[in-house]
Amino acid sequence: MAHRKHIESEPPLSPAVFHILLALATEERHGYDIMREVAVDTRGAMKLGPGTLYGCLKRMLESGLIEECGGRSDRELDDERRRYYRATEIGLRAARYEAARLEAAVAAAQSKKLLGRGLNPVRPKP
Amino acid sequence: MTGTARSLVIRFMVRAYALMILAYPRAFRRDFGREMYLTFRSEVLALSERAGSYGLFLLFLRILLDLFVTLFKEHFDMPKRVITVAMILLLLVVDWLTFHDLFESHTVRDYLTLAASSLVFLYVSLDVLRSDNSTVSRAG
Repeated sequence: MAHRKHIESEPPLSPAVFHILLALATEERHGYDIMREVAVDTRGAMKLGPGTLYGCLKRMLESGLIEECGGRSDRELDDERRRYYRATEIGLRAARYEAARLEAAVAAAQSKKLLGRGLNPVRPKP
Repeated sequence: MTGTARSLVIRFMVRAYALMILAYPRAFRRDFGREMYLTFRSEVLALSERAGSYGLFLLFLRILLDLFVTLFKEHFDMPKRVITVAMILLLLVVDWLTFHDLFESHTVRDYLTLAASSLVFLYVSLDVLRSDNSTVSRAG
């Protein structure tokens, strides 16, 4: 019950911020790597442009959701030195709350038969 | 597309994007300009191998849209704060001019001015508190 109250008091994350946190939940990544991971996680539904990505990273750094962890090159791409980011404890906690909120939304949709195995997403009639 | 034509298109796109970055506020550019450039270049190089010229064209359209949306956002960030501070200072001056002489008799209009400015101060304070607690939801 207390946990649920805490979830309600936490402000919701925007989809872009939530997916960036998911991308950084397991390892440190540079900007392009985050962009690729978000595209994979969302099955191509969310493609962040550099402006959106770095605007989000700027605000997430300011609010302490992520932190910078130095610069190094990514041998798979090129020899250019890139800045790497990782999620902070605050960021991971915010992502957990957001995931719990989404889980509750999915459960509500399932209980109203809007979502489930073998069901196509309901589309409004034209 | 031949190899030479492809490398020309890639070079053009990367240079065009480098110029577009100049439209962002200087502080944002200083912090993230180089990273944005590298990210875009990596995306162009990867996509040119996967999706060809049509894919590159779509990417360029997407990047243009991203640019227009985020340019507004990044430029608006700073003026919003400046306008808020200017508004608070102006209201403080108005309140001081109205009430600096405590022995002077005041009209209903004076008290309404004070009430209105107090509500503005309250609104701004709550907004600042909310953004301190969570710049999270606005981060996107």
